[in-house]
Amino acid sequence: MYNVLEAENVCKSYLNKRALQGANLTIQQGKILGLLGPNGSGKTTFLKIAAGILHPSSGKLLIDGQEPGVYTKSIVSYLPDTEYLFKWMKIKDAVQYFKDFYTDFDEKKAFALLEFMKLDANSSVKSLSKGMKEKLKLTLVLSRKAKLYILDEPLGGVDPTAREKILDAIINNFSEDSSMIITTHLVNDIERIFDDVAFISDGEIVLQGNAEELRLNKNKSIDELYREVFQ
Amino acid sequence: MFHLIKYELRGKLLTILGICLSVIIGNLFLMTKVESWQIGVPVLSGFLGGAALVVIGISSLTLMSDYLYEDQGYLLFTLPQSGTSIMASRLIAAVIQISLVALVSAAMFGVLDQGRLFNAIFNQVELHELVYSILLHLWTIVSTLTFMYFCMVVGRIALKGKKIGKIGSFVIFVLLSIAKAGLAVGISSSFPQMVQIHSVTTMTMNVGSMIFDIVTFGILFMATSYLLEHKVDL
Repeated sequence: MYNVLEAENVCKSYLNKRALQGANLTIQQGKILGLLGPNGSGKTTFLKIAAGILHPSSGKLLIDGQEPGVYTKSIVSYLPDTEYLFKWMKIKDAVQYFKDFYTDFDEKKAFALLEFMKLDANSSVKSLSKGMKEKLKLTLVLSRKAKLYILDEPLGGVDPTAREKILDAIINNFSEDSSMIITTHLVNDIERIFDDVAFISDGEIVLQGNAEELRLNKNKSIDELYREVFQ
Repeated sequence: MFHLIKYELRGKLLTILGICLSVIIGNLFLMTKVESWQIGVPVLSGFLGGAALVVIGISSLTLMSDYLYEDQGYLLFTLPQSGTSIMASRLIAAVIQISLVALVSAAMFGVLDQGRLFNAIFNQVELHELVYSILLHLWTIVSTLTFMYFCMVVGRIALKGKKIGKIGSFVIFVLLSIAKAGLAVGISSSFPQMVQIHSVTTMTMNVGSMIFDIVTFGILFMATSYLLEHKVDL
């Protein structure tokens, strides 16, 4: 089993702030890793570097053995926590957009997922609620057969029923050939799907390990552990 | 790259249609005033065309700035596309939309003018001169936008904030324009060789500054493509 993602001493500094201070992290093939931390801990910064839209100040991050770039973007399926789809699009246009640009995009799977999410392909993107937009973004991202899925707050702003739906979609569409990294504040809702977890604080990974082993060793759920680490 | 161009033009469809319709309606209105306003009518038609080109020119700048400062950047910059593809697609989309508006404006002017000006031009101008004029039009759009896109991207990288980034880009644009103009003047006075390129207007061009423009375009295009792929942080 090889490491899909390897990060070594990754630092990212802005003018007056250090967002990442030597983050070290690995993700093995076939694993779902939860990257957990409070607001401003560096989760999104790390994910953006892995997605290739932010460049580290120092350190090394490799995906499938390569630095983030055109190749890694073709094997990474990234769900950002922004509303990035064009306002003029209908849902079917968004599906076509992904089909046009990603060779690993499965159109049939996308329409099946849209049905599962109860989204109408003829709806306009701008008419969707926040939860529906989240479902659409997730549909597009999960319809790719990527080596690494990066999901930034996939449950953000979504009601509990929709959360379950989203989690089911993630579990049902995850393949053992792929890996996934998920950030969230809603640890309790999502911890059941994590194979590994990493706690990030002030730009550093402060604790990382197998989710089940951590639960057994500490005799606590990941949610309780999260509260203990970040209290 | 074809897909990038397709989606850019699709995104700007309403803007392009809106501008073209405004030009058509404006010119139709002017046609009703031919008797009373006389010579003022073609002049106003020319102004209308000019205004349409300014608006579509500004719209062409947003082909880059929207992705640098808005959330759509997450869509574009996570695509497995090189900086060169991104840069070239913006330029081609801009050329297409500006040319469409220019064509509609020229056609409406031609109808208003009953083809007098165009007849006069076609009777005196050789085909190769017409082709040259079209190429010059395309070159002007491409080289100007490349220069502006470069300033935008440098401003975005150097200054992170949206407002300060845009102001910074403008300052960079002004400073680089002055520097470029100064260099062009220096080169044309050092290498004064001229070529005649238009028989009717006896238009001439300095060989040195022409080469300078082409080299500058090449450097700015490559630099902007590199910066887009390797340095822009969202």
